[in-house]
Amino acid sequence: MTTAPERQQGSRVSVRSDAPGPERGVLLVPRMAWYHLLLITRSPIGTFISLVIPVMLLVALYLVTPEMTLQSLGGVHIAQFLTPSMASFAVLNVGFVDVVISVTLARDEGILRRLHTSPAPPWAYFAGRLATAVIVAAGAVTIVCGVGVLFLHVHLPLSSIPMLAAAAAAGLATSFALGIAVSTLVPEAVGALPIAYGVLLPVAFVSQVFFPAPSEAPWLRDLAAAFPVLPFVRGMQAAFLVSSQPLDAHGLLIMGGWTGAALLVALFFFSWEPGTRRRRHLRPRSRSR
Amino acid sequence: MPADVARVEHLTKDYGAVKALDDVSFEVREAEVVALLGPNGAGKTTTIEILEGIRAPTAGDVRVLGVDPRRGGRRLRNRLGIVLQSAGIDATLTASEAVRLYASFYRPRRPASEILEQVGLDESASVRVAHLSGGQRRRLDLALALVGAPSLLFLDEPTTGLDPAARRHTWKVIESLRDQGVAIVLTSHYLDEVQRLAERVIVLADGRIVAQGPPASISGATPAAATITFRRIGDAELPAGPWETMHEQHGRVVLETREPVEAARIILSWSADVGIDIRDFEVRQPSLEDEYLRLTSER
Repeated sequence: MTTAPERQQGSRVSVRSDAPGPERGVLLVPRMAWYHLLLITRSPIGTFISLVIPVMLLVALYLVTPEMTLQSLGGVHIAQFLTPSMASFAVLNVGFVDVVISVTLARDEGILRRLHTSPAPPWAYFAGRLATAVIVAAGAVTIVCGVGVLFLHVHLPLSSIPMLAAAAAAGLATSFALGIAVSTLVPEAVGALPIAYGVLLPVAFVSQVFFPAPSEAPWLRDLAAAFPVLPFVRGMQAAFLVSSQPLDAHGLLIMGGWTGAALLVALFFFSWEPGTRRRRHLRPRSRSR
Repeated sequence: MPADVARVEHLTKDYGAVKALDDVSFEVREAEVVALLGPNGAGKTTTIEILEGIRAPTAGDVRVLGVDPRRGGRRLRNRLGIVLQSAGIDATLTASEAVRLYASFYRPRRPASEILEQVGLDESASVRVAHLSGGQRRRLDLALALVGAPSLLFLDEPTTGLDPAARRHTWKVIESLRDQGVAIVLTSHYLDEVQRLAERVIVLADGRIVAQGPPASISGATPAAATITFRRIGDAELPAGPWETMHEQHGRVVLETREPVEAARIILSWSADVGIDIRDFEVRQPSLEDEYLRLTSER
């Protein structure tokens, strides 16, 4: 049996300041990005959400009304509207829906917990996740626009590509931050898909992702104007439609406000532990000495 | 004396009105395997999670490698290996990819092939986690804890779900790590495993330490009786002796004694003196399991 004096005699093994530290966080970002890219390419739901749904919707909506022109947009062909809209939808799927689902699932399965007990800095996880989202979103936008240009005779001026890329980047940043924030509110992975689309689809409908004309109801127009999807989609459409409003300072302000609020929610409520967000509120505040 | 790797003093953890840990104190030294034993809900996993820095204590002082585990940050986690009771691995990664990913977080780190061979998963390196058996996944858990050459290893039920051969393989891995100087904190429901691996056992019940010491002397504070059993051929009254209880069961005499050597001497002398033949004479010392059950059932 151990006695107290014996305990006091033992010296201590400590984490010496000259001992090698863990791998530098910045070097882990490409590794994390590779990891997330492997997951998304091997996950049928990730590929389906990011690539198949937007392309399928583009082709399906085009086939329903192949000869339709849009008078509200100056008489342009429907494909000229649908292509940037579905490219926007792809970005929203990559940045928001896939993030909500995959982060919630990783938390539920204890994958986040394991990562959090490793020496990898938490920010490297999010940076790697964001880098992957950038790669996948770039691929999805390229494929959707490629289908539009090659098969649906959509016109995309080369000079508009930087505008398209800038709008896509802003939209991805906002939707990614919102995806992380919403993931903190999803109690279990089984609810992630319905919650993600339950949030996204109504906002997308009022924000001219699927229909070109703004709603007749003023309150719906005001509602759409308060959300970040409308300025983002208009910014994407501006690369294809001269009548659409490019992403301006007002739009960036709205998107930035939502991004900031989402980051605050994530900062205070993000949990690496399965189910602990709810349990945490049931526990008294603890102190560490 | 080997140096302290972890030290816990007067640790208390409350979950609302429930006291999960109450004034728990112990230390873990270099090259030592310390086992935490106790029934479900005794506080084993809470203790380990506080040592890992996952949970904050309500009161008490915890030092792991000389620092508060809640504040040790990445530098501390670089020196720890952790096998959690429940933590996932992405099912679409292969075993080798998972090990390489986690190895990339550490410095120094060990080659993935070496780790997979050590835990006996080298032939499953290219198999996706989704297709590994439960036992293979548990071995992969251990592999992920070893990638950074840890100084302190937390093993929360590391052999649950393993077949007997895999359990013995894992024991050899743990023994070899201890021989290399790694300190190990182990929880397990397998008492044979604890008896074989642990230098020291800490028995928790209702959040308190009810016994601690080497497995062989865990009963030192409150020694349990040894049991002597035998069959006697013929009728004769047993003499008085240093046994607390005596009864017959299925034709065998059963004695419980705290002085088994003296009791055995008296019985064998008596047998020779009165000419009673004794068969199947057996002295059984209380096992760790007997002691564990007695200690935890007293609560």
